[in-house]
Amino acid sequence: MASAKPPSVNLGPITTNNLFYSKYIIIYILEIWLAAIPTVFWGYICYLNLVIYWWSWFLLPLYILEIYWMFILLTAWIAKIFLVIVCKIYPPREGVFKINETKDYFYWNLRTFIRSLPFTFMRYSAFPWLDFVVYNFLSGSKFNKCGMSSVMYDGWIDTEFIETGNNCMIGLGSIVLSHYIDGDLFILKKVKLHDGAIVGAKAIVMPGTEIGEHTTLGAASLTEIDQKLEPYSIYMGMPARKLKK
Amino acid sequence: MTGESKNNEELHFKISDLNLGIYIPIHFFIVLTPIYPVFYLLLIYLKVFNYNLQIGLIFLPLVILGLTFLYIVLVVYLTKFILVLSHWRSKPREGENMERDFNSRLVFHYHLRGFVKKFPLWLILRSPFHFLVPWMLKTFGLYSIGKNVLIYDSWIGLEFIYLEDNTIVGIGSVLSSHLVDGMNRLTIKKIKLGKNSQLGHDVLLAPGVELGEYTIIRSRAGVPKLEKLKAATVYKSGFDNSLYKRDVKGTKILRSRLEMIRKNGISKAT
Repeated sequence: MASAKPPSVNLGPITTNNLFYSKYIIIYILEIWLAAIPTVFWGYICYLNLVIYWWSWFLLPLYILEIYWMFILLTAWIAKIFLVIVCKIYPPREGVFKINETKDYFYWNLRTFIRSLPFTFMRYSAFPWLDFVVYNFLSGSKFNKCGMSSVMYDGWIDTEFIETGNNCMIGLGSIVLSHYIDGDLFILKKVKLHDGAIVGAKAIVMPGTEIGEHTTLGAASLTEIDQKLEPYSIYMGMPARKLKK
Repeated sequence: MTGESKNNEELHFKISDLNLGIYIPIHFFIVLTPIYPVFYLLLIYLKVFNYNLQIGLIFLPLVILGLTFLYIVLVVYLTKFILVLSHWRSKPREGENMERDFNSRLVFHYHLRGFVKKFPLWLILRSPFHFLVPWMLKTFGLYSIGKNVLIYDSWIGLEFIYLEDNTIVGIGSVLSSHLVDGMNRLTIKKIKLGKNSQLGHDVLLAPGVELGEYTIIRSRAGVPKLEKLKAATVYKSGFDNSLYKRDVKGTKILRSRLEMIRKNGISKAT
């Protein structure tokens, strides 16, 4: 019964943040519009095909998929162009910053805002497990390296300063953060998951964490900032402590 | 066993009392009526194709974006219209341990409000304009969101929530302004976050919780109902052992700042 459920804002696992400043809306509209123009023209060609050749109706599902993917990848391309410009103006860096004194917080907001659209489309698409394409493409080799065989789409994961190896698993509803806001401090540090690392369901991985090869972080546990988890072992608890090797 | 089955029967009886005969027409009214003007405007735009095909195709995405925006705005204001009628019939009010009688006017309108707000919320979250959620909640009323408020993906109640300036709500936190106590009792109380207060990730706030200014709640803590938390203090869950024992660069600054606030009072620290 829909009405018997609690009224809630369920934003679901899209990207980690939902920041919005009204001055950014031009970027947002430009991203959608510029990506949509070639897509619309290609759609028109497909439409003409349908009108002229009767057999092209068999290709209709293919056309729809093609147009859909073209749109998503084009938004990623345009976001990439914006990102390159923003990173040239203010290169992103790791560290602990004061929100009011440095510009890092502002530019981090801007970067995540630019990234949010392709990520949203990818996560809502029929193939959410392909999000590593956007992860690798939008961050460049400098920030993100995501293994193709890793499962990432079930949790809230930050969009930059994330590095995962192959065969990593990020559990349902877990939170992997490369940033943290504490008082007026803004912490931005790289998270590294080595090959075969497993993050349990509902676990929270704080910025600066490094999870060793084939290490398991238990469900509902929490790591400290800058914590290093040793390879081939199991960690549990709040904060995470070694259970066994 | 007998007790369970009895409860289930009771529950079934009560759910059948929800008046779907009213809910479903309202739903169709909200969903379908704004389609007519939007579709009409699209038809008008399609006439451009007769004059110039290229220009028509280039501006088509922008027009579709604009029309979805228009649709969202119309849906939100139609919902607001129904909410105004509902508020006129029975004014939403706070209370502790109210009787959850499905035939009473209070509970009926409480369910109706929750139901009516569902569609615009769903629509906005699925559209490219997901940042319109705070605006939507503010237009529905009984809600306030201050400047520079940062809300991550979280479950937030749709009424009786007051977030002041510079507050942060972490990922997956739950802010519930209503609570069903047992099967027959209902508590509705406002949640208020003071200026510059922060919630960590997976924090749970029950109805009636009020946070003072500069208060921080660390990740995965829960606050029981009707609790008033002090200003300028850090709270953490009982299971959370020494999250900040490790000397991270910068956390010392935070501690000294909190101490300063405690000594001098909040107004001087800002």
